[in-house]
Amino acid sequence: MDNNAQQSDDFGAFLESVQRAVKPGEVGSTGNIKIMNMLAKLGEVDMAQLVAMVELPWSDFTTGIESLKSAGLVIVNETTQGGKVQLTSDGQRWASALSSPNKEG
Amino acid sequence: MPEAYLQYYLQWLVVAALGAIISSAEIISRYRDEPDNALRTWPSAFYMLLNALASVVALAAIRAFGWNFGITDPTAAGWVQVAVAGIGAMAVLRASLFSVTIDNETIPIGFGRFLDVLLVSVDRAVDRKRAEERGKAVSEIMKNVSFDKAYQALPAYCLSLLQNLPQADQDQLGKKIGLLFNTTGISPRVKSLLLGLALLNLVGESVLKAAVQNLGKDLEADPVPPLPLTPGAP
Repeated sequence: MDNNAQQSDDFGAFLESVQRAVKPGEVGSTGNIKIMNMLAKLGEVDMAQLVAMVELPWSDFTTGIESLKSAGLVIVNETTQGGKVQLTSDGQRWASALSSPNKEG
Repeated sequence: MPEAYLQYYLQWLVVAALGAIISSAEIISRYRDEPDNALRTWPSAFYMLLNALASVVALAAIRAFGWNFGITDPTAAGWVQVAVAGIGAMAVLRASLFSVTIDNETIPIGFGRFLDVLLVSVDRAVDRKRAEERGKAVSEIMKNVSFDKAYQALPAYCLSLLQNLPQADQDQLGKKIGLLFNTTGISPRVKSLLLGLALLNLVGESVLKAAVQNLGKDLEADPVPPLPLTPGAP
């Protein structure tokens, strides 16, 4: 079996990655939305500035940034001051959908 | 002689076409789901025109300097000049001439920066053009889809319909879905729309539509049972 054939049939790997990513027992997080909304307003911003603006605990903030980054919704450009973060084009689409009137609360 | 003239003009046309085709491949690779739509925007046309112009200028420079690349036959030399100009102009346009360091960050300076800015405007123009139609399409396709029922079945079905989606893209999709699942504060409807958007980017509108149609009722939310009638109610 060649690589392509393996890729086409192997959505088991995809399902595993979904199951690893979802945490049904965990209390839901709104931190990711806060980060994305703030980035949609500010564009590219220093990590230190962003954490102060979203008012999240450091651990929640880093977890949020990490999960957004691995989902391809933000990019972090490393600098000597700790890094600058901005939404990807995919992230911008999500941010605009999240700010739609259908949002709860 | 007329044939030689014809060939001469044809070479200018071919070098311009070569520049445009190479740059169009760059745009197509950015919009794999709807490449034709991406190419039909003004910034895309300008980007391709600029690359075509660069190839023409490169051919003019090569001919001005009389570079024949060691080929004595004028016709063959002419076509080699076309190939070198077409591909060489792309390399020159994308190279950085030097780099400057500002605030400990090294910034490359060259035509590549200008092209990057142009590509960003292509991105914005294409996004603006497609945003409305994508929004309508996703809203229509996902109108009866329940996120809780679809978040595993629908992507898995779409992926099985495709043949060559790279594993890295599948992983990223899995993480997006995990993110949606774990996030509170957004309605199930918005979650369902975002799931649709994530899939639309990867598989395109027709595959997503076919997948939702094929899975049908398996993706629909359970109907809300009617409230029991209480005796004496009007």
